[in-house]
Amino acid sequence: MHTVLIVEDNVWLSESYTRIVQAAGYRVIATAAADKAIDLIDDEAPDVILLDMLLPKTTAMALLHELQSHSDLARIPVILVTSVAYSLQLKDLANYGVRKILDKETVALDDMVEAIKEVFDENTPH
Amino acid sequence: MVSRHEQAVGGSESFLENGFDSIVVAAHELKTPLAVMRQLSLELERSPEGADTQRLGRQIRLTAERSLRLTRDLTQASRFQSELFPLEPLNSRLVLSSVVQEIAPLYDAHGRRLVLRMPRRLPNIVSHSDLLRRILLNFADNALHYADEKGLVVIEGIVMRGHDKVRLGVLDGGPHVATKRVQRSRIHTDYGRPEGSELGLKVAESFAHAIGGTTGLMHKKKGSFYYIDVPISTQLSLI
Repeated sequence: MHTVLIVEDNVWLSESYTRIVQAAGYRVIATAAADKAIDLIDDEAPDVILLDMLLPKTTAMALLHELQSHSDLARIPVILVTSVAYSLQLKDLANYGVRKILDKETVALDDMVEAIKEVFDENTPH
Repeated sequence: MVSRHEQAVGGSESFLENGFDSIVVAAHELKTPLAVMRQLSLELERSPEGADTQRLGRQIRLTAERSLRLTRDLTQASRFQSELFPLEPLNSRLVLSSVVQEIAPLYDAHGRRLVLRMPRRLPNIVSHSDLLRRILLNFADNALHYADEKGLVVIEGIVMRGHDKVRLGVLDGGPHVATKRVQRSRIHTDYGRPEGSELGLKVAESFAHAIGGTTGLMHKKKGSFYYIDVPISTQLSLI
């Protein structure tokens, strides 16, 4: 079973994402902080990360930098789920492992699961 | 020629200058709670608990999305001084259709209908797609509670005399400020509903200013027509 790490500081949003992703058949681990995410990534080796962009203390960009500094972690695909999607360009973040950007203000329930599936499909050798 | 009941709108800079920073901060602060409301309402809509729960979920989501549109517009308006908005040829029919498509569910939930009315041949225009859509969405949002006796609000595209511009707007059956009041002061502080804050209309006005469009209000026999005039594109082959 694939494991999805959710990094989201709003507890209710995190719980909602967890329900949706679990219902689609994935194992979910979640944290509200980027520094805790690093520990979870080391311990649990998630297959994909759903990452909020605006996190307190250690930022999402710091987490993305940290992932890229380790060759094994750099391969983990990241899906940003953010309320600042309008100011982000996927091409600018592709080098940080970001594969998709979902806008919190418009995303539909199925979009998140679809994005995860698409990322897995892209990673699966044909 | 501008008629007695027609008033162009201009001078949005003062809206951006007068206490706008605090409004933008508030808008930023509201984004997350509104996104949470929206997310949880999406789950309610899919709930197996029954039609009533799903209907409540839909109403909460539509309300949250309406508020999110305004917070997004406000935060973007705050960045106008440092941004450029490239204009491009646009299919005016598609712009109007996409606006109707986006806001129709909100109208439906309120028991109203947004009807699209335009000539078969509405010329292409030169504008900024996103901002133009958001101007029209603000007009449609403002008109939501002012449908005519049949429950209709009309979104309309008109070729203007001289054929050098297209007027895109929203016609509703609602009340409007008195012409005398419009003439007395800056139009952008007064051209909304007597009982409303007109914040969305002010945002629409500042968007129009950013893309070189002209917004205005026409008082018609049955209601109000909020519009933006945009130039016709001569680069038809690029569409």
